[in-house]
Amino acid sequence: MRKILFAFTLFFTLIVHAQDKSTQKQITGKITDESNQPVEGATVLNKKTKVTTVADNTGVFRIAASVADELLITSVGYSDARITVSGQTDYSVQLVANNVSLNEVVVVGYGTQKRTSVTGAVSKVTAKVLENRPVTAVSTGLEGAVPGLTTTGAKGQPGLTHSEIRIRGVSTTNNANALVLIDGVPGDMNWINPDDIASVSVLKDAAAAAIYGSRASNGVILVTTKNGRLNDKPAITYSGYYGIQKPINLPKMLGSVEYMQMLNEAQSNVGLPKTYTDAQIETARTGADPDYFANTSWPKALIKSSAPQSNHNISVSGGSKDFNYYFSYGRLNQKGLLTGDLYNFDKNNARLKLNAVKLLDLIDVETNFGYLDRQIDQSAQDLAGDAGPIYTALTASPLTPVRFTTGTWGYGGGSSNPVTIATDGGFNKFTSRELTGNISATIHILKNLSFRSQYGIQSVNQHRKIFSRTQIYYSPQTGLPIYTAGSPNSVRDIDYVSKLQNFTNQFDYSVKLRDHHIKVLAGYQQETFLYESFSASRTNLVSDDVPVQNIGTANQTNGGDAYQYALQSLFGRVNYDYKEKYLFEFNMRYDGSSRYLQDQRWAIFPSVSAGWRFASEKFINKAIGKWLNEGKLRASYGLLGNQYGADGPAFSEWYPYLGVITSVGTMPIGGVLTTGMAQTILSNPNLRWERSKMLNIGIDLAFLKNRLTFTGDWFNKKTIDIQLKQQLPDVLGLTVPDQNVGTISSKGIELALGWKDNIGPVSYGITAMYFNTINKVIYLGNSTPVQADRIQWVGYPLDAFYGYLTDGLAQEADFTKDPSGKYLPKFPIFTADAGRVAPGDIKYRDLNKDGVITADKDRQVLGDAFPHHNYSFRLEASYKNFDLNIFLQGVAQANGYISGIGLHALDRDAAFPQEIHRDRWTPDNTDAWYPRFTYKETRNSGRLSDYWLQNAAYLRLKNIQLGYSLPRKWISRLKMEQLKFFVSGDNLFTKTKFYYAFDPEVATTSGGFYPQVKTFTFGVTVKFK
Amino acid sequence: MLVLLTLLAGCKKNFLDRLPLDSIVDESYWKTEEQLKLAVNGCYNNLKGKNVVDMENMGDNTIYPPSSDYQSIGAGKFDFTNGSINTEWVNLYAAIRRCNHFLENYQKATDITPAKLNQYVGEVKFLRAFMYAYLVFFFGDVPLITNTLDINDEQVFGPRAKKDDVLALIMNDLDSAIIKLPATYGTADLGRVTKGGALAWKSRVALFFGKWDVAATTAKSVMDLNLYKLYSNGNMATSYYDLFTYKGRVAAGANKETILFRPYVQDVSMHNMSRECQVPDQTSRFCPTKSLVDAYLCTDGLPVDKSPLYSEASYADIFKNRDPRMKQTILSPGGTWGGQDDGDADASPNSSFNSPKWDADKKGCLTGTGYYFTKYVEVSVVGAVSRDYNDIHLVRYAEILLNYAEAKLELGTLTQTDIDNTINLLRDRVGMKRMSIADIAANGLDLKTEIHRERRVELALEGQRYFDILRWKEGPLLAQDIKGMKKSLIEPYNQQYVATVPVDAQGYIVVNTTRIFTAPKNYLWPLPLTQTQKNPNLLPQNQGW
Repeated sequence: MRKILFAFTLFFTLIVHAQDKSTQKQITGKITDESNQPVEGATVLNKKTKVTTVADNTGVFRIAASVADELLITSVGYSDARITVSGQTDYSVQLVANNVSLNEVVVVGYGTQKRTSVTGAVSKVTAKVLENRPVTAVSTGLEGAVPGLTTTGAKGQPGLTHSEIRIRGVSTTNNANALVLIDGVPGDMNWINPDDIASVSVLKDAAAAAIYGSRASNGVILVTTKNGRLNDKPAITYSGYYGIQKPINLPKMLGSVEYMQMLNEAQSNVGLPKTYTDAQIETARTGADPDYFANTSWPKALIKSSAPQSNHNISVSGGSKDFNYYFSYGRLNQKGLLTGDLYNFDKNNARLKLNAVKLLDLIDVETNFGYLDRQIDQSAQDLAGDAGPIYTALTASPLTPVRFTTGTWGYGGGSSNPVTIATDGGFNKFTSRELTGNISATIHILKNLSFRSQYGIQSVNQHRKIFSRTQIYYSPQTGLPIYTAGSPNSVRDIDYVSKLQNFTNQFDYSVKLRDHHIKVLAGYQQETFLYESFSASRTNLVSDDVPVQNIGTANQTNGGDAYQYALQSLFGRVNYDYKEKYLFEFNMRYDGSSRYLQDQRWAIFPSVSAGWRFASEKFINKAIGKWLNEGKLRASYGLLGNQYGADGPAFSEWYPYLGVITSVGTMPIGGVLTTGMAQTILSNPNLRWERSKMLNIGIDLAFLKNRLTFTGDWFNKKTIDIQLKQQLPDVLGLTVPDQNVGTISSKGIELALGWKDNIGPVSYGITAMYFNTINKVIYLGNSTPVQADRIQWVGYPLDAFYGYLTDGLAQEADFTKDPSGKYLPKFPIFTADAGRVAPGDIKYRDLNKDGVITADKDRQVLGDAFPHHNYSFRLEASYKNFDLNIFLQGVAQANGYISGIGLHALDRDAAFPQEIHRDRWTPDNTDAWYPRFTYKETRNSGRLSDYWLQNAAYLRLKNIQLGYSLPRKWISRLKMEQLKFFVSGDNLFTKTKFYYAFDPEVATTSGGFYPQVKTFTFGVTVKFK
Repeated sequence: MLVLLTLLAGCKKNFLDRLPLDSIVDESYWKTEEQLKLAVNGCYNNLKGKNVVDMENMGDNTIYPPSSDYQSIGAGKFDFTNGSINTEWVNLYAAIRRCNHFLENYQKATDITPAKLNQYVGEVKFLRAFMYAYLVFFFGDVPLITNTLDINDEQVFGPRAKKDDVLALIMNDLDSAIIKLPATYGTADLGRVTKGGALAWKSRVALFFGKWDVAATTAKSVMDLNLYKLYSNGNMATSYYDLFTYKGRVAAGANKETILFRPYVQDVSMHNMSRECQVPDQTSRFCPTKSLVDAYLCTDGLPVDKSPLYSEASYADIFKNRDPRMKQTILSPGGTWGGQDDGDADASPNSSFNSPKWDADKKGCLTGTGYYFTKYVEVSVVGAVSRDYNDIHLVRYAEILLNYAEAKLELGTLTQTDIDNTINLLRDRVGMKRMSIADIAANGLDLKTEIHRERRVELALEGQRYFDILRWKEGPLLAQDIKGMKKSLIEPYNQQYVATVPVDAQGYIVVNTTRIFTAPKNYLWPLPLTQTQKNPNLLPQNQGW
């Protein structure tokens, strides 16, 4: 930190220098776009003298101006730029393409392309999408920003707010994560500083992604960080915000009295004696015994009404004729909502980019260093796990007090006190220090031939310390311990070290022969990854306050593991266009992976694509050119690969072709911890690449002076040779190996419509997006599917919900009674339920009409587990110094399923009733939502049926922000270019029919759910230049 | 440029050959004694432990009033989706795979003494037999897998083998193990199976399948090893109890009775038995049933329905004049208690037990039947979760003696001398009146019933009751209501808490009713649905399922 500050001061001194004033003189400037190409025809207006000029075909303009005059540079398809004239006479201006412009430059694999010449399905996200939002992980900020991109599994827990990104849904049973490259090197986009991001490209189809071959079948995301600009004055920017997070939904638990009454009812219903007497219920009502008959709402006791979040960011950028720099430091702090203040996330990002161009008139050198230090603090017990505070807040009895009257922690059996776990149970601190470095040199061998070599390294050092403290609960009667958890206390340290090295070499050649334009790219890449971990633990620490190994006195253990992989690739691309009207592109990658045996190791992933810019055809231009500015048809077809199996980071993932023997736990022999060795997973030497064939057809249109834009894509993707574990009989005795046996098809449509205009002083833009993807299992080998709640079955969507159909709740009329008064159902039931079914139970439907309900013959696919019909709206408007952004996102069709304690009550001891359970079936409330209570019986609650499937569709106001920039004339004397204040709110409003206690964006849970938060922030941006 | 070209050229051809960094490839394993030993260790992972005691819930000795997988099985209210039956299938075959893997490869080892090699092979053969025995106990006919399978092997989808063929393998493996295994080990190998362990298991399996001669001769072989004797601390009132606490751990040295066990070690591997028996804020997971309580003879050697010494006038009276094993198994007034507040008049914790607790105020351990276990309870760890490290005994010498007596009875060769050398040793340990064939006849009792009773009483809570009921073809016992104490014996101040507790015609608490046992269906488990779905060739289902 101190070093960073020092470096910052140094820069500041170097780049801020005095400027003198003089009278009007001729100044010159050069206007370029983001890829440093000249912008021809840009208009330059001296706002003081009202003189106008136009840039020539090399982007150069000349105009007369005095010091402090403001020049306004405008060009169709680009955002306006301003220069305040200073002492110098030579300026360079870089224009940034509009959000929806077809002029924009798009980062593609191993290069950039103008939007007009792109033939694949590529979406670009500009920095604006992430600006001023309290985004703690970049992935969540991309939700709804790109048609076809969905995020799943986002959590509210500090430091774990990132989601998994899915591009065009899921079309494999394996790793479905998109490949993410940051400035060309694989990395984790979540933790880079959102303020450092210049743009994000999402490569969706085979044409765009095939150049990344073996890892591209789930799409590719290219994150490009900001650079300084050549010939640009130094700019110092500070931006920061302070925000408050508030939980959106919390389960509403019932108090003790209703719980006790309902428990008695649930027990009576199944013929068991009642636990509580009326006198005891009265004790709870009067609060006469606050130690044993308390009235606690655990979610309320555990979860605070708000928690702060703050972010500070400072950057310095600029450049001279042949050198530019960008330097930034960002700090994020997010506190957790749990009492005890243990939960915390700290993130420090530093980035330094130094680029020198045309050294010796020949070489460009780029360096890019990023440093990330992040720390996630949580309780020793995993937050959402069965023993963690969130889950236990639902499994702890309302009769138990948070603290006994004696002041010690309350305990009532069955479940630990969640507040104790969060406060006194010890901690789990994870720190990660990640250094990324890219160095590249581009040699301009000839005017149109260059060679670029880049070395990238990502070195990660992580440490996790889990300190589990002993929690002793004392009897309020005797003061003696009644229950001890976390005994003996223990400390465990784990170090993880990994190193990813990436070495890329590429040749770029381009030639223009009259109307023929050819670009060729050829390259070689290799990548190695090495991971090692080391852990040590001890128990019986002599103090509960000093969490270090050295004071542990017993059970010293240690362990370690290591993995590695390597990739080697050749890749190439040929672009050809005729008059920029007929576009062709061919991509190919030849990939080798260490994950397969020699014979299966290498594979080719090619793609072809073509585009026709029909709006440039004379006959079309003549007919409708007045209102059609751009029109392009695109088509692509190609093959993409996926080398990841189903097992995650385990040896079977890295060496699936080898039968390996690893260390396994076993029973203690000779009175000590004993190690065994065994094979735990079968190998498959024939394993090979999983591949996706993908067809994409798209259209880009721009109307009415580019004010209205439209992009549409349709794709059909078939993933074959999916590596999956067939459901083989367990007589095998080992985990089944991956085999190339699956085929999944996936089809989808993506539409984006944009409108941009102004009404007088109000300029505004609206973007609407819609996309939908449907997948279907085509083939799964010869094995029969195992019929579980989620099923992989040919002909149905992947991991579909599978269960019973129901006919509502049974009523008196559905039964006859035997002489002893026992209910005899007139409808079919499970044999195992015989004698237990009564009015108020769910009626399952006998699909095969054999008179009984059976697990093997009466279930069917109930619904798709993936969200469908995703849509979003983004509105941007500005009026004078005010600007307003509104972002809405939604899903029109989705299924969710809440199981266990999240939804059910009294079907186990630890499932407590919620307010919604007041509407349960009783003889007086036969029109109920919830079935009758059946104590410790899960006949109603434990079987997945259409009765329990939730509608997880939603519409959410993801973000709204209002900004006010002070007028430039007020602040220019302070050398400020911008001073902007903003207020912003995330997740302020949600419309959904989903179960009230949880969030439709995480639609499947069993109750261990950290609440989704809404965040209000206030922030400021100051830019000195 | 030159540097780059050099780098490119320097890329080795085997750049992509990346071998595992933390595991050993199968082909290069199986060389040394240490490698073999570690592979054998891995095979012990699925040796049954506390799970055996949990299986007592399938019988009629104990109940946890709300439902559980094992209770459902005992009550006959389950089907092929019951999770525990599939878990058993999966775990047992996983253990068998490890054994087969060893048995296919051990011959590759060069750096090992023949004695060690013999021992290791013996251990693994025993373990394979142990796993297969449970498979046939549960399912009858099962696939017989004796080699490591690959996904393409036909056997993966093969049909079931006849129970007798599996049994033949079990006996073969055990015979081989008996020859190869050493009779004892040094302390560093404590827990490994011994010759006696293999013999003892063979005796159990033979008994289960009614092979009385094998059961008798094998039990006799164990007796003739002269290695084992009943544990005693010199005090008849506590010897039996101590065997199931820390004092009786095999590692403690005094226990020469336990033949086969699953060791537990402090902080390393522990279970939760003590807490489950007397959990101080919930209902005990193991509540002894009336049926078990009634099984204990009175000190005159007569059952409760015949003995004049028996009185049910008060709760305390039930425990008077009974087989001394009763107080060392079932908690009696005055016994050591870890369950905090009991059912006495005040609401304060007690260290010795007075009367059963019915008030669900979370101040102490509740009972469903009116009874608690004291056997297997190490009071010092009741207050913490999973902190028990007493051994779980799988076969102890007492069972060998019982096996011998029962097998001899079935063979028709049981003599009073045999009884003196077996059952009466058990009775002598606790000071119970000796069993006499003559007395039994004189009192109009049935010898077989009494031998069975002896087994039930001696081995209560050791996980054998369900299997004994099955092999004795006494399935209908499982269909009887599970009952507890007489409700009228509960103190007046506790009556409010049991107001809704149902009773039978005689006033005994009914804990579990509408139980089902259908013969022959319930003498075997159904094949798990998951398995028949994965391999339809396993069908047809077991009879009746």
